[in-house]
Amino acid sequence: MDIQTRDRLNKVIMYVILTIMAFIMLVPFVWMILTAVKTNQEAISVAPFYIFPQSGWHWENFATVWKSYNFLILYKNTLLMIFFRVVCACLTATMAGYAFGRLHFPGKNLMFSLVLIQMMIPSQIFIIPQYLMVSKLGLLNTTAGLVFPGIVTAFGTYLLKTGYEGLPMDLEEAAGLDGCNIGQKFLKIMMPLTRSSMVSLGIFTALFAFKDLMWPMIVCTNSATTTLSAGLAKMQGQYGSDYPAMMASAVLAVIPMIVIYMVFQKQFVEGIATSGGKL
Amino acid sequence: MYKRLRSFFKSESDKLSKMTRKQKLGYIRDYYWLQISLTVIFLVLISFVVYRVRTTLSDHWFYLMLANTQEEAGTNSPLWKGYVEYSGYDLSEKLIEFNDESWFDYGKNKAAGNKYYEIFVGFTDAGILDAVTMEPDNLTSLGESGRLLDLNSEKCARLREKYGDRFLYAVPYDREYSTDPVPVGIDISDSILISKYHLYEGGCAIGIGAQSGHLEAVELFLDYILQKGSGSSPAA
Repeated sequence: MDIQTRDRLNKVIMYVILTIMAFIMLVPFVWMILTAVKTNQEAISVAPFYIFPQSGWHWENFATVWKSYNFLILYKNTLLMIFFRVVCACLTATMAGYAFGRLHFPGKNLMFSLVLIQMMIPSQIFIIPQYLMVSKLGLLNTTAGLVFPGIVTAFGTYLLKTGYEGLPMDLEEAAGLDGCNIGQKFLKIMMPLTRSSMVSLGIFTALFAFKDLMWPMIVCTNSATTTLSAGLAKMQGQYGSDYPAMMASAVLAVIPMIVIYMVFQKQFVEGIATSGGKL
Repeated sequence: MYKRLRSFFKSESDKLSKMTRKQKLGYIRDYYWLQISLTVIFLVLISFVVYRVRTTLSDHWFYLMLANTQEEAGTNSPLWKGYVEYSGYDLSEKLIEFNDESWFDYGKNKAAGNKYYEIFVGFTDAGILDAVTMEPDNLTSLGESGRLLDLNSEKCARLREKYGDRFLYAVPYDREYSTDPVPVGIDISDSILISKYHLYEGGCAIGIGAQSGHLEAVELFLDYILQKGSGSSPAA
């Protein structure tokens, strides 16, 4: 076997393996869509087992859940929460990251240790204190209440700190020689250079916010202010046995994230590469 | 540090003193707009927090979780309005909250991984939750967890006297606490209001949060839901 044939064979094997893996990854998603257009009987039937709907494609399941739940409000609440959490996280993390990464001040190491400790403690521990704070501020059932835990981020601070530390000192020194003060060095020189870290942080924050279930369930007891994830959990609680309705809701809920992914596909891939993280 | 700051302020004020008014404004805008913006944002945030903390009601007269019900029974529902009217509590002082968005069955694998149960645990342990209603079987299995008040305790004497014949019992997991069944719930299946609002078709019971500090409000709710007496108004 010559080298060319061997390379081609390796490529074919690799493609076959990757195709199978991609198919496995897609099965739950396809299954969700197929269940969404079945009748409940078809969805729960084991013998006979149906992959495709037998009595026609019941697209009306989508209309039913759309009418039962005000998805426009759920979309609006979710997107507002994602937007504000991303903006707040990027703003606070970039400033804190710069301070920890480039400035020297008393107690810096102690303060950064506190930030790191936050990352090591399970987030559930913070939920009740945060609830009490939000309740004291009268922010229950509001967008501000939803955004509250995402205003600052320990992970983002750490990510941006490493980003700033990776930049050469010469840049800052040159800016200083040109007459820049600390604010100008940060805003005009250093911050633009951490754009890829900020994009990673934005993507992570958006995904975590979209997937966040516990917090919206706690602070939003009112269906007019709740988010998609909490709305879906409520549907699951209420219609636990109506699988097509649940799957139709899940398909509707996942649409914004698919759109966001399509728009920011390049940044998503860059973000994962930059942070080395798993989404 | 102090010396450095003093010399910094001195050099800046020297620079500014040599400038015209327009130049001063331009200099401050170019060099310090970030610092000024952040200071303004910080002051606005602090003012907002102080204002909200001083003006917002956050304490509760009564916090009830209506678990596993499909009907609207939350805050502002007819059931809630009826209780507010019956109890006579002043809502300008504290809140009354009914949460009807919770679904969990402790009998099934101790509700492991169920977010609603985790919320129940958090609220109970933090002393926010005063009472929980659910199906009698679910409630008795929940009572085994020790998160519902033992109705044999001294502070439940009045409840025992009034509703002792309705008690539901469970043996706690904590064998050091008791190996005998202890009362953890009160059966309210025959409540006209529960039937009227179709809250629980297969019967209903109420348990009191282990850390609840509002037993009077719970008793009033029991009187209300079982339509006993004409209501009293401890707060009025």
